[in-house]
Amino acid sequence: MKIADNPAIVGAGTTSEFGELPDSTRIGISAEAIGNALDEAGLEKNDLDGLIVNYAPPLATFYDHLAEALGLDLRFADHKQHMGRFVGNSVRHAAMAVENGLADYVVAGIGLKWNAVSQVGGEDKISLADYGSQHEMYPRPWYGFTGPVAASAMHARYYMEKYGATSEDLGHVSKTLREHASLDPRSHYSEPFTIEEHQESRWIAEPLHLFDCAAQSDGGAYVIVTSAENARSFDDPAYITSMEGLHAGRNNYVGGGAARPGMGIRTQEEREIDSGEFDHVYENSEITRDDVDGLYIYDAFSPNIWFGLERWGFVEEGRAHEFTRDGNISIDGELPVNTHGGHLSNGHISGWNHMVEMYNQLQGNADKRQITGADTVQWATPWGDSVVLRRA
Amino acid sequence: MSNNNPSSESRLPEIRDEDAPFWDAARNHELRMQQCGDCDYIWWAPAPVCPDCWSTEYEWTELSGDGVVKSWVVIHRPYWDDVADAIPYNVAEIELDEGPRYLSNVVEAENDELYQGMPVEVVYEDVTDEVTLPKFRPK
Repeated sequence: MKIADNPAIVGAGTTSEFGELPDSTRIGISAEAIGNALDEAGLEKNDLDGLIVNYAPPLATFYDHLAEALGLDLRFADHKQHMGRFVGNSVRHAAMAVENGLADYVVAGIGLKWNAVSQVGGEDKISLADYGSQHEMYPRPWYGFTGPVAASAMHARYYMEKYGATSEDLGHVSKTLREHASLDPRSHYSEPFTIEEHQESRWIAEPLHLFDCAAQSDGGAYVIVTSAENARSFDDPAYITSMEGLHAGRNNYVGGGAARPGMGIRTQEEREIDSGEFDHVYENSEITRDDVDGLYIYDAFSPNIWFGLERWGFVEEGRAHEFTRDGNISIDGELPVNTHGGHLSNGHISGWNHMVEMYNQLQGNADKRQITGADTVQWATPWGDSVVLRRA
Repeated sequence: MSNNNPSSESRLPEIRDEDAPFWDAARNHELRMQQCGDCDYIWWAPAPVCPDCWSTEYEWTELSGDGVVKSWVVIHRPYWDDVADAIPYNVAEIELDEGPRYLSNVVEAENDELYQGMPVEVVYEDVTDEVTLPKFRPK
């Protein structure tokens, strides 16, 4: 299949900054980001006939209210559940919708105000470190356990004990992503830090420090998806050449964290990684892992980067903590990861800022963050879902 | 000095129909989980069918209460006001000898004594007349 025979992203946009935006409304945040995506695509709002959003009020806006407020006239509207993990689902669903004639132009993304929500544990609301939950996904508050940071810490500890990794190794992940964020003027946190400063940042849920936890950001990011046929009239579409769905089951329970399969957490079997699990994803794009110029991982917490690298077969099982120590995931490294700084530092726009960055990399519009010659980028999560974007 | 015990009358499990037998057993200082009458699989968390074979024939089997620490965390951030005296406290994933993993606290141990594979046994903490929490101590 030719690259240009696939559905494509033809526009992407964000708010001008991510962070605390007390003067912005959730709908205003969406309007700004969708407006920027339309400008990038050269489309008008009336060209949009599809919308997919995720996250529920009060963090985000119900699709019905958003469509009404922005004067959209839609024939394909959808609202995914209240979780970040549905970003990939949203993009894939948009791709399926446009290829099956349910819509011509689907705008998918989010306008978030994390800072509008009071948190379990008081008013200190700067990061996911402070985000408690009594949600049914993984908490045992009667044992003092709440998520998602504690769940991620549980997974990180298992990994550290089994493979000899350390908190300092995680520091290299967070430090690298902060360096990336320092190159993006939108970033919520952009001041570089040292490994020592990472180690001195306070413990939240040991073995995770504050600097292992994502920001909780206000901001918006959207992409516009269209069919291969419509994409022909655009200059340089980012074609969706492979998709892999969200995995689930007793070996793939995400909970509040992100344990990759095989770790023996919760109901998982404890076993070696199947390094060929996703070979078909690369075969479907007629590429190998070596062709991936940039990798984008849902990084609510720093250990997700290790779990994503290993599950997707970029690094051998138990070796990601060494790989991420040596600059390999930097923009000029062997495999650049989250070149915008990810959730950890660019901002927690729930994966949608990752999607926009992937599009911008393929456009050659990533400014100081540009990966030289980027023509293939991949969204790949520890929970097994993926989107591969390529230039024709 | 931390008392290392985050449990409190103010945060009790919400006891639903499907897990009431677990909490009834805990009140009697027994650890019971569902075991399939057809394939013998023992599972946690409570579910109305065997996750392996979907049989609805099961009974609440008494377990040995022995297991090992699979992973653990030490919580430093007080997510509730009434854990101020408890931080830093541990929460551990215990792999029971019969297979299921159960999230709990390790008691009668310092946080820095925990390790992957540490043998533990169940003990019971009566938090109220109605609620007893299974916890674990080094064996």
